[in-house]
Amino acid sequence: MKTNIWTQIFLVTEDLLNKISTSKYNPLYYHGALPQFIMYILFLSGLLLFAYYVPTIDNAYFSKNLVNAYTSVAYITNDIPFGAVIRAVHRYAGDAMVVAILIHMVRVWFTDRYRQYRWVQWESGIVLLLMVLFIGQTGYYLIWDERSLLLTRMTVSALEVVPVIGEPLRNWFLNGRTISNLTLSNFLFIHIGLSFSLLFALWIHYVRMSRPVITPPPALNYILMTIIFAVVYFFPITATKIADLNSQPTSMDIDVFFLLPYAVLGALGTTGFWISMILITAALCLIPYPFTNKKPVESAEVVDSKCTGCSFCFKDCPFQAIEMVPAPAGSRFKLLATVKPYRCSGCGVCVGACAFDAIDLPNLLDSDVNEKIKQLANSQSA
Amino acid sequence: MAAAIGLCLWASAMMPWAELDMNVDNLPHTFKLLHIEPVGKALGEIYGGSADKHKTHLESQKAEGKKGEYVYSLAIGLALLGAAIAIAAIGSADDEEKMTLPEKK
Amino acid sequence: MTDQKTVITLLCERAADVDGICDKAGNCTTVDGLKVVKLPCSGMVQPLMIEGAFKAGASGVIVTGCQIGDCYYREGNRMIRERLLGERTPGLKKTVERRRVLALWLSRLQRGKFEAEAKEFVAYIKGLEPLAAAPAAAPKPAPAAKPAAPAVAPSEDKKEDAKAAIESKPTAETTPADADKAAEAKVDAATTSGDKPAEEKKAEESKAEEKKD
Repeated sequence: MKTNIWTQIFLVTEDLLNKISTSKYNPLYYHGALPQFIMYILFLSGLLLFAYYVPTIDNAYFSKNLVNAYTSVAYITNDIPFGAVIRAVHRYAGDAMVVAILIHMVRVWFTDRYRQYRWVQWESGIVLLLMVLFIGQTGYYLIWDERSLLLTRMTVSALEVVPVIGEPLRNWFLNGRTISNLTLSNFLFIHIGLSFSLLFALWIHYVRMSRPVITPPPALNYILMTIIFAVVYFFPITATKIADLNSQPTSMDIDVFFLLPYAVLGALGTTGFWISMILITAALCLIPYPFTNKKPVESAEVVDSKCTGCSFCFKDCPFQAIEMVPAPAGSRFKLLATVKPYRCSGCGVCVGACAFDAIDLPNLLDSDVNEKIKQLANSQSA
Repeated sequence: MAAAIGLCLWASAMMPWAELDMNVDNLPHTFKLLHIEPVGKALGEIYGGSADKHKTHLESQKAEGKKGEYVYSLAIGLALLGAAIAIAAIGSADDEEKMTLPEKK
Repeated sequence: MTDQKTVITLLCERAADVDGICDKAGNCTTVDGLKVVKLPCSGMVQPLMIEGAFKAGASGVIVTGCQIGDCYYREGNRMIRERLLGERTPGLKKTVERRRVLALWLSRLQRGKFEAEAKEFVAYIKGLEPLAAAPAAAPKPAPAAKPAAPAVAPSEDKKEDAKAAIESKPTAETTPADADKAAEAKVDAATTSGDKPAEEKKAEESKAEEKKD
């Protein structure tokens, strides 16, 4: 339980927030649930945008005026009631999602809740973060303004240099050899399809946790939405220029949350981009492993002869580390608790849940605890 | 607490005004059908003063789309904030750092 | 004779930081009569431990975990909170005086609050009349040569309470070992009686009954 400056910062912030908002509404206690709520905002606002979006770069309906991705976005913005606001909410909720995920990540990191029995959560979290970043980028392609064109070309240049599979990758990304009508439908598919695969990745993220906290209290949701709506008002959607395949846009505004990789790509070139991306991802994935595993977890142990198979420990275990198996032949009971050591955190909740003394932490037997209690209770009179 | 509920109500009433694009001169037919034109006019009187401020801000930001909708967004945000503070004020009453056990009968 | 002001604190080592006010043996230096037992998580607290403390002569018990909502191990403090309130099995025995148990949910930096609340609680306990059951149960100095001893000693004390449970059961003629087990089963307030295999069912039934009350 050593504290360094970083954990201290978190402890002080936490304490301060507890004083302001009480622990029931402390956002730091819902850092994992907030991204989940933002995801619902994104799904809903995205659905409304999807209803009017036309994923082509050509004139879709041979109408008098050009109807393509860009003009459909302009139509949403200018003609659909609250279209501009919904677009802005969708964009800023995406930014908020990245911010919330980063807060979540930093907090679990500095409060030491990411390694050993939690490695699956950390690694799947990295995958989720990368997915969210990529989904956000594809969102920027869809608008089909000058920035989208530049982003698409930069992505193609980065994909093409990948050895061996570079060209197939590019063809997959553009849905053909060059930018065409099919390109945008592929972008739309990636954007939406990947969004729904977030649910699958989230399942893996949660699978080792009993009762994951996924709903923040409504008051926190409201405040989060206040922040998003306020940002919409103070930084409204602005007009952009339609993409022109014959032009060569060279600069753009950078959304720091999603488009940072493109800034890296612009600065380092394609090779430097891939090397830095791979290094960053590998570093993130390796965080739970090296040198930090000071002492291995000593997992709880079931005393088979005492276990009655009541499954209280199974219900209470926060890491799904206990499994109820059929009791061996000759037992008076139907079930027997067994511990999966690789999932066990050694927290002792199961010891507290057992009324039969049948489960123990090897490094702190509950008989020892009882002995100490007894000794302390008597020490004054002795 | 009272201030939070006040903010919520004040911002909620601002929402229809913003939805009318901050202009109550030509109220839509719904107002006539429901005979609530005076309400519309009253909204204009309460909030009308700030219309120019909102417009200058949004124009300086080159906002696309109807300006009133962004103001609506601000209003709903404020209403939610008021609601959140009020809910949290009520809900935090059962927050506990100290817990005594109820007596068993 | 047991001093009537010993209060045992069962403390999560990640909750309020008491290292500065405690010696290694667990005696609190600033609050008179306060003893601290550290656990990895407040979720490890068994209702049995609390009962054991009273049996051994303590006159009050404080359970301290992290702020509700925060638990390094995710849910430990919620679990013990629900066990103490009788919403989760195993619960406290009915005979335990509820006013002698206090739970504090404090974050790491809240040592001051812990001290203040503990002081108040110790003073409150001092004001209560001595525990009736305690002198009868406590007198043995409990030398406890083997680690197994403490596990046996409290269950012996429990035998009397268990009798009622045993008598009402079809398995009345049981070996002493079984009686011990039955005694322990009795401890679980929710699972008042019943054969072990049927326990799960009964636990839920009796829990439902309790809720109706």
